[in-house]
Amino acid sequence: MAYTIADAVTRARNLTQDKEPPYRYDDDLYVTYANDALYEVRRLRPDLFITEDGLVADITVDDLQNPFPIDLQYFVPVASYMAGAIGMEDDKYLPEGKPSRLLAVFHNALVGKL
Amino acid sequence: MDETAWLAELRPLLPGAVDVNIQQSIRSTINEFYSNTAVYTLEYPPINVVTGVSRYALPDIAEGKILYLLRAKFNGAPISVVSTGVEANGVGTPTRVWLEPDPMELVINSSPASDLLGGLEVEVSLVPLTVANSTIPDSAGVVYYQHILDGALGRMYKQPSKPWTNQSLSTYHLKRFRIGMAKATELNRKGLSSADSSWKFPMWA
Repeated sequence: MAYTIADAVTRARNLTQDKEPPYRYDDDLYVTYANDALYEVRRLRPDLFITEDGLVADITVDDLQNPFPIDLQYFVPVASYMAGAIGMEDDKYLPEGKPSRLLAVFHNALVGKL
Repeated sequence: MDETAWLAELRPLLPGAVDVNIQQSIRSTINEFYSNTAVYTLEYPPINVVTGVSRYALPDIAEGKILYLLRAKFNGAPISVVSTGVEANGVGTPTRVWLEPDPMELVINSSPASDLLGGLEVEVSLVPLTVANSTIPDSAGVVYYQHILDGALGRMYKQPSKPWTNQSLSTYHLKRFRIGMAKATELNRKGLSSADSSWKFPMWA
């Protein structure tokens, strides 16, 4: 199954319990954290960006229907990062410690020992 | 052939790795293997020798990039292959030949007294994978399959801070890879890998 960036936003909304409109956070914020997540992925795992230029392409809300930009093995970690980062910003809707656990999921999936 | 067979074997050993990364390791390993062993060889089409000319351009070939000059014959007789030399101004039967890069040229130490069609025959070793050529030699997948597998695994396990990083397994597989390269070089030197080699059973067989 091919995921899009919009799917990552939906997954992150599920994790932050922000599923029903009116949303607490708009797509712009999720996309901002998607970009942060991808730069973190680039820093930790440059092997996921083996392309001609090896660069991260910035995402905007106009790109929501584009394919998820890295290998789909790393879809869940990126969505977790997006949700964790939003939770860190304002975590009164999330159980205590959940944002940290979501960020740990991201980190462990990328560089954790198996 | 391509990397498919190795990929299928390597994927389960490298959880979290993406194919393009594994493919790069396989291809780098193949080039390292052939660079160090010089077992991928090619006989160039005979070169026409012209009196007064001591330099002959070697056109690019599809199979790979020339690495070393292995053997040479002038007018059917072997001549010395050297790493570098001095071109003599005089005319006479060449006795030495060497390779000069950029542009790739064969140089003979003296120019022949008369033109000779196909007078210079050379055998070169190649590195197979270049920007222009992505075809892996069949020998990599048949004769040297396990060595390439070991080298690629060693390279992957050596990558820093990845979920599959494993220094002890890297050391183990890279050691097997080096042994494999040494074995391939030695067998090639003894001529045991070519089809026309004369096999002889040992007396106790």
